[in-house]
Amino acid sequence: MNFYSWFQIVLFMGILLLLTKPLGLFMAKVYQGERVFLDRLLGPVERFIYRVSGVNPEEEMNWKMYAIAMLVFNALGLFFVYALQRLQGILPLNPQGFGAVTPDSSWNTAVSFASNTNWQGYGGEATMSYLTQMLGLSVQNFVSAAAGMAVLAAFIRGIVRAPLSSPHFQNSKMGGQRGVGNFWVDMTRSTLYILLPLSLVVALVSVSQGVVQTFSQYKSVSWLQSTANATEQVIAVGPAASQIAIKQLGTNGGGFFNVNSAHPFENPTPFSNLIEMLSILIIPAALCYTFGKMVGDTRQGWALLAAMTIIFVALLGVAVWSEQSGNPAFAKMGIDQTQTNINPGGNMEGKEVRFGIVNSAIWATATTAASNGSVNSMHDSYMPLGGLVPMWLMQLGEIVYGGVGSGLYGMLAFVIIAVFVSGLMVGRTPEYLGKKIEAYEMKMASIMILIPVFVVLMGTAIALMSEAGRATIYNPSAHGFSEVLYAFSSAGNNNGSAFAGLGANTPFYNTILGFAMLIARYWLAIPALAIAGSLANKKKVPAGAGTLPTHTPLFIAWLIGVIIIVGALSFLPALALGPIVEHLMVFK
Amino acid sequence: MNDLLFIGLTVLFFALTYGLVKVCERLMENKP
Repeated sequence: MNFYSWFQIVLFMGILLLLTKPLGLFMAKVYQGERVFLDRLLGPVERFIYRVSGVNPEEEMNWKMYAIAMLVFNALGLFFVYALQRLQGILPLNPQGFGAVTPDSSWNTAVSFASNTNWQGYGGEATMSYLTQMLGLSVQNFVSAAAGMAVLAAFIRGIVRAPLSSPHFQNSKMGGQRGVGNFWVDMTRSTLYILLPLSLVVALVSVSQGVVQTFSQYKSVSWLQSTANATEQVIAVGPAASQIAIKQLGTNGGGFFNVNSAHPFENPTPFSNLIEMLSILIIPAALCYTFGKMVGDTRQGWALLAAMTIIFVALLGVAVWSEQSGNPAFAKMGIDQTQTNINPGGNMEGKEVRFGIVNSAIWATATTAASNGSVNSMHDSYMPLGGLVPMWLMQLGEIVYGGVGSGLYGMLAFVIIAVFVSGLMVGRTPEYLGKKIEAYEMKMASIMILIPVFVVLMGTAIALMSEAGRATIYNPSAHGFSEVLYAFSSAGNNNGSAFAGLGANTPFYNTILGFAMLIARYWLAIPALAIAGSLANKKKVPAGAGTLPTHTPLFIAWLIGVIIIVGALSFLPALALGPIVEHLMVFK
Repeated sequence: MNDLLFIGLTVLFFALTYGLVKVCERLMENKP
């Protein structure tokens, strides 16, 4: 690695960490209902939304009411996107005249975008009308991200709040339970004050770099040198910039074009690449500070951010090293893989020349650390260990920064496990931020950690054992296995990126991956809200001499250890059959 | 026909998810 490689990594991490505090502080104010500088502009809009939709913003919900509101909202969104795809042939804003999407692909896509996964079995520019892309997919990009952030806000309130003794405050509709917020308010404020303004800025910057934003038909251009078969080419365009901004900021990842952010109309320049990479991680990273601010001890947020950053940087190092070291098969062919100031060197297969090794590896690590899933290079072409990094980051449960909201509440499930185990070691009832962690919280946290593991491993096993699953594996041996494992790791953790080489747009994969995405999203959000409800109804215990501090380097190291042990124990056997054995075969 | 199948599968999933909400609620109340 030369100076420029190091500089790009330091620049990216530096800007990311610098933006964490101001954005985190802003989001804390939004979720605590405090005044922010956008109030004058957006306050009337927010109040208008509540008035039109009949929402009383002062009304609290207990965890169950909150969960049901989330489920109903998401189910309606899912049905709407499904209907939109099935009917797009007779709806407007369809200049290419695309017909209805098939039922299985429509369902997979509707599930995928409602669950913030954005797995795409289809090619956007060859399948979806502009109306479907904008009204269906882009809208879900906003609301699915906002739903994850809302669940996190409720989780944090569960930690912060304690039961109210006065019956005057106890709403009978909530069965005497302490509320965790109002889902509709959290959704509205997340979208209006956080996602929309940031998306507007990123979309405008993207357009300035050359990302397309138009309702025009696709363009036909004549080739400079025609061939025997063709003289012109159709170039797809469309309203891409507005979708790309939120696809990154909301950790959605679904590309407007099939090759996602490797496409020059989605990500034309190194500067647009930097902005999009920062957009992927900025909200999940800043939410750590938001957490610290809301619980009244910012050191707690910094500790979680430190644990995430240590894992991220270590795995980024493996990815860059693996790709920069090159491919022995290329060396045998006489291809020069030496890095110079004008040659990126290393394994450039599947990577864009304008991004090179480092910016491709940062993106691959960031997009799978967050539950984003957009790509600017083809992960299937990475060296085996380079491909293992994104796969394992997903398998850890999308908690290293993670999806907006969902990443941090996933990380907090690991914190509960870490606190509980350390409590067992010293023989004390474990506490976290003044709340006793007991059997119920442990059961819910265990569900949150075990469900994705079960979905990924069982899904992979079913696909490999069934004729329909094996029929569309286009690569033999360990790499073919890796492609299936990657697909289920992606769907089973709501990431959405893919190793190519697996034909996933089949009724079998559309259906089974659809279920994996649904389970990974909602069967984790429910126990997260249940933990919030349980903690909100527990009295705060003052910290004593035996309380385990959860902001120290010791706890950060312990938390990382718990995450790695769980991740390693769960997936090492499967990884040994895929990327690890492939690495040994390549370098034997 | 296929549309009905996928709509039915979705309804089934969300019904199961509501069941999970009830299970979590009962566990919180310490009921078996």
